[in-house]
This record gives sequence, C-alpha cells and structure tokens, in this order.
Amino acid sequence: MLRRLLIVAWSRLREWSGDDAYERYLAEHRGHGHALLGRREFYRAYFDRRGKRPRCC
Amino acid sequence: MTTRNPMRRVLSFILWAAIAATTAGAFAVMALKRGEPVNAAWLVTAALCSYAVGYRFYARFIARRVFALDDARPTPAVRRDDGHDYVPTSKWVVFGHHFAAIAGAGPLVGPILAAQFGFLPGTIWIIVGVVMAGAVQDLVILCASMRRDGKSLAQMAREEVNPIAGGIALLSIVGIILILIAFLALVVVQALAHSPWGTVTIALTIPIALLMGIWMRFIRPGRVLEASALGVALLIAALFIGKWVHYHPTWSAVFTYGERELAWAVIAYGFIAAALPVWLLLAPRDYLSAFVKVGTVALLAFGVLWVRPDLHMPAVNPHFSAGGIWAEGTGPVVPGTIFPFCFIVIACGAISGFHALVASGTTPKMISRESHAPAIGYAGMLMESFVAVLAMIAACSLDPGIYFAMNAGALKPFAGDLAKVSETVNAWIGAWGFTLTPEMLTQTAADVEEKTIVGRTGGAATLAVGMARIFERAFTGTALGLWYHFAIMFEALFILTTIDAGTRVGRFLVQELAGRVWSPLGRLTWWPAIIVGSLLMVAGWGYFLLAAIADPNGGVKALVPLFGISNQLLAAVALSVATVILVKMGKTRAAVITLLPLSWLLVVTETAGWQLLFSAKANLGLFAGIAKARADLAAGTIGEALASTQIFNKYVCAVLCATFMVVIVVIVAISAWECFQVLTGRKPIVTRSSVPVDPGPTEAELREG
Repeated sequence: MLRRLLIVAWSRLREWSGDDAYERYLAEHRGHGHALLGRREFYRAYFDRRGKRPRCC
Repeated sequence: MTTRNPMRRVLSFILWAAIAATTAGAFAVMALKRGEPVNAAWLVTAALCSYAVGYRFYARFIARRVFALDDARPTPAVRRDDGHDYVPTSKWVVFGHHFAAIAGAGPLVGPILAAQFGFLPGTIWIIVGVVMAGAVQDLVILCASMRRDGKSLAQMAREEVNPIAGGIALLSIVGIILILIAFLALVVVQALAHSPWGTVTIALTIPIALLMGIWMRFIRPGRVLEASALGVALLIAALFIGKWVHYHPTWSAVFTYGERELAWAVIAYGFIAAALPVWLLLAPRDYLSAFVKVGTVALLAFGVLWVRPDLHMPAVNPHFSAGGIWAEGTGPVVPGTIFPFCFIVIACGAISGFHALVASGTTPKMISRESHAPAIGYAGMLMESFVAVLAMIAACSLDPGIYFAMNAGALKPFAGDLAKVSETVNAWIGAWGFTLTPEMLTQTAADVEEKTIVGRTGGAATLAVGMARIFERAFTGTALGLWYHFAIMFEALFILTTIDAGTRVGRFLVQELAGRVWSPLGRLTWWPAIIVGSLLMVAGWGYFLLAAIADPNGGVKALVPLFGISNQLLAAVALSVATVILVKMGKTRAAVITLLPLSWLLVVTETAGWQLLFSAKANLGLFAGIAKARADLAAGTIGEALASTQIFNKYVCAVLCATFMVVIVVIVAISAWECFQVLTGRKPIVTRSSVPVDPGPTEAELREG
C-alpha cells in the first residue's frame, strides 16, 4: 500500500518536473516516421516553454 | 451524483453539520475569547473547516450547476493535444503546476503587515474572502478559459466584452506587474539590508541556478530531479557559507550593503535575468524555488500544528477603534483604518487578480477532464489561503513588542537608540500587558544572528523570526539563527523568481504592444527588441523601487496600498469578464457568485483609493503628504532635494492610483452595459465558447436545485 503510494508519488513528481518529459515524447512520437529531436534539443525547447508561464506573487 | 442510499445521506448530513458547527465554534472562540490568549489551533480549525464546506458545497455548485462540467466533453488539452502547449496531464500534476504558479511571497507578506490590525480582521478576510471571492474567481476564470481553448484573460475580455475591455485588461496586467515586482523587490531589499549572511546566501543562489541550468541542458540533459537535488544541497551549503561570512571580520564588511546598493543590484539582476535564455537561469531557479517553497510550507504547517502557539496580538487592535490613537488610520506598519485597508493589504491570500492570468491561458491547456477544475482552480487557491493563515499565526505568535519594533517604519532611524524604540513601542502595547525592553531587542537580534531587528519592515524578516521561533520549539535544541536565515533565503528565493519571471512576462506584453507600432519590436527572438523590452519593464518597476527606498522610513507604507489596489483591479477585471460570460451562458441568476465579490472589491478599492488620494492625514493622503512636504521645506526641516523627490513621487503615485480607480469603474461599466444589452435582447449573444451557450440546467432547474 505504502509502496504503491510512493511509486505513484514518484512518477507524478517526475511528470510534474519534466524529468520524464523526453521519455514521454519518444513514446508518443516513435514510429510516426518523422525525425525525432535529440534529448538536448528537446529539453532546450521544453525549458523555453516552461519559462513562458507566469509566476505570481 | 448524490448518494441515493438514505443511510449514507443521513451520515453525510450529520458529518457536514458537525463540520459547519465546528467552523462556527472556532470563529466564535477567536472573536469572543477575552482575558487569555487565543491558541493558533482555533485559526487552523476555522480555516480548514471553512475550506471543506466551501469546497464541498460552493465549488461543487459552481462546477455542477453553473458550468455543468462534464467529462464527456473533451477539454482543449484533449482536442488540440500538440505535445507542446496543449498537453493532457493528470490531475495532481496540473495541481502542482497551478499551485507553483500562483503561490509566492504575497500570501506570506500580506498577513504579516495586516497583523497590525489584530489577528481577527485579517484572518476573517483570508478565510471568508478565499471561499467567497478568491477561489471563486480562479475557478470561474479557469472554467471559462477551458471552454474557450484556453484563451487568456485579455483575449476573453476582448472577445466576450469588447475590444476596449481587452485593451484595459492588457494595460492593467502591465501595470500590476510593475507594481507587484517593485513591492516584492522592496521586501527583498529590506530583508537583506545590512545583513551579510542573507546577502551572501541569496547571491550564491545565482551561481547555483546557473550550474543547475548547465547541468540540465548540457551535462545531463533533462535530469531535472537530479539537478534539483544538487541545487537544494548547494543551497544548504550556501546557508552555512553565509554564516561563515557573517562572523568573518573582513568578508562581513564586504557583503554589508544599504538599501540603495541592494535596490540597484536587484534592478541589474532583473534586467539580466529577463534577457538571458530561460534554460540558463529562470528554469533552474524556478525548480529550486518550487521545491524549497513546498518543503518549507509543509514544515511550517507541521510546526504550527505541533507547537500550537498562543497568539499574543489582540484579536482586534483597540488603537484602531473609535477614540484609539490610530483610529484615523495612523498605524505604524501600513497606513489606513481596518476598513478598507486590511482588505487591501492581505492581497494574495484572499483574492488575487494575478491568478486569473494563470487560470486562463496556462492551466486550462493541461486539464485532461472538465471535472478536475474545482480541485485545481478552487482547491489550489484554498491552499494559498492556508499559507496566509500560517503567516498570520507566525506574526501574531510573536511578542507584540518585537512585532512593532520590527515593522514600524518610523522607528528605522532610531535603530541605534533601543531605549527610545522600547519607550515608543511600550506606549502602544503596554495596556495589553506586554513590555518591550532594549535587552529583548538585542537578545532577539543575537538569537537570529542579525545586527539589528529594528525597522526591518516589509514583512519578510518578521515572518522569518516567527517561523524560526516555531521551528525552534518544534525541533528543540536547534539554532534559531540558522532557521531565521533559512526563512529569509526561502522568501528571497521565490521573490527573485517572481522578479525574473514577471519582468520576462511583462517584456512579452510590452513587445506585443510595441510590435503593433513597429513590427520588428514584437519579435521575441530579435535581441535589440529583447533589450529594449526588458529595459522598459525594469525601468518601470525600478523607478517605484527606488522611489520607495528614497523614503527615509523604508517606503513599505507607500507601496503596499498601491500593490493591493492594483492586484484587486486585475481581480475586478477578471470578475467583470466572468460575469459577462455567465450572463451570456444564460446563467443570469448564477452571476451572483461573481457579482458578490466584484461589488465588495469595488467598494474596498474605490474607498481605499479615495482615502489614499484625499485623506487629510499626511501619512495616508497623497495630496496631504505633498502639502506637508511643501510645508516642511518652507520650515526648513527637510532639504530641497528630498522635498522635491517626495513631491514628485507622490504625484506619480496619485496619478497611478487615480488611473486604477477610473479603470475599475470603466471596466465594470462596460461589462454592465454589455450584460444589459444581452439581457434586453438589444444585442445577439456572441460568445466564443467552444460548447453550446447553455450546456447545463435551465434557470428553472437552478432555482429548484
């Protein structure tokens, strides 16, 4: 029970932070025939998008 | 669906009746208990029970009856999933993104300043305000934007109300960003002034963030959690380096700066950070501040629940009652009387217009099911409000003498004369059974390993002392100074994040506006346009920051009311747009949910604005202040340069305040006219909703339900 909870929490944390964003991107786009971004290029764009979000008081 | 099982219905009724009764009981204890201190547990109970009732009944009413949220209807994230902007995301992850974006230093600082009125007025506004106003605004805007492909507030104002409203929304967003950043920068400057420990720690966060950025981009691309763990570890190290510098005879002098130098440093930082690539500084700093924020707030919640401190501040400060010494709004921390200024100063903890920028445009593009909206929009704001309650507890559990010595700006020039400080403060708190001695001031300063605590206005230092005291009791035997500087670091960390993110967002808006005049200026990748845009934004907030610093009493008093009014101006824009949308949805009666907070905001901000302009008290009224500066100059008590600076700054503030007041009235009037035309059938309903105009129950059903 606790183990399961920790596993879910960890995967949510990875999803929130973008730690697994590249893996998700690969899983989604692999096999569509078009060229895939490398890890480095992917994260450059990823951080750019993330930085556009407003931050409040 | 409501349970059909009669047994469960009865049980649920009993449970909610008990929660409601507990809420009422907790409020009664807070308001009526006399003679002995009120325990913080009552504030926490009142808050949590009110949140539960608000979430279960009000948020559910808005979700089911007003917007008729339905998981069968695909959200923008699902319909337009592009893996970039539109990404269907799981509920708790969206909650994390949303909360990280809305929560900052505002709900921590506002309640500290409002504590001068006593703990009760502020606490009531934080709790009732969030349930009836702040969380409602966030949820309604979130739902409206979710039904419109995740459009931004300014776009919705333009399309649902009219282009003038869209323009007003855009301009007020730029205005509020300028004032918000200036105020937060002032808080950082006041917290770090003459404090080498704090200054070194915060300065070190910059190379730490750069290292994290390079790590995540080049060394181990995308290893965000690894880099964050490294960053947090280095941050703790920076705290100890700060301590070492503090006790080092030469280095300590090198890192001791006054307000002016620090203000310029923050301005330079804001400019560079807004122009640098996101991955290098902003993204890593954002991770650091999010993790530290969540960790520290959790720690504070645990500490408060564990220690359950008594509150030493009176429920309602009697000096503000009729006949009291501050009855005319001459309180030492922030200007003005309880009404309206307590409701202005609290700002983000009860309602924050800024949240409408996150709830439209950003968050809705990630929501994967419509039914997730209340848990994100409404509950996210409830959590922010709880942070504000914790801050109120931290401030009011301090000895009132310490609180006023730290927060009264007028005492700043007397930091070297502790006998005079104690004497002044004792005249305020003596009747409550408290005495401040010079030894208490030196002892507290020594405890938190700071040179002085007198006149450390702005709220950050007070919160840090309050938090450190709570942590000290929760984790017995640990160093108070370390906790204090940890708390300062934690606040400064995410204030700097807001400064660079805010300057950057403002730069995008400025470039968008400038791009309409000359299109190359609108290009977000053309570096001359980046420089010009950043420079304009930084010059804007930098001016207000420097003007505040030029005030010998620290300037918090001048900037706080403007910050509160501008934040509520944006909330008024959001609620007006939301009201028009509700009316166009055919939910005229349900529009009460937005009209209620809108009317309150209108009364509060217009009254506060009016008093700020025309009050006869020189500490509050801008024109009275200008007259006083002229009289002082004539009498020779202040110099020519200082007088002309003060007069000019007050004129700028007056123009800004008057503009805010006019803009609120105009946006409400435009929205009311639009509603009138729609309701009387003079105008066909034009709405960009991606679902049919009236998806939910009819007016008749609403009445029965």
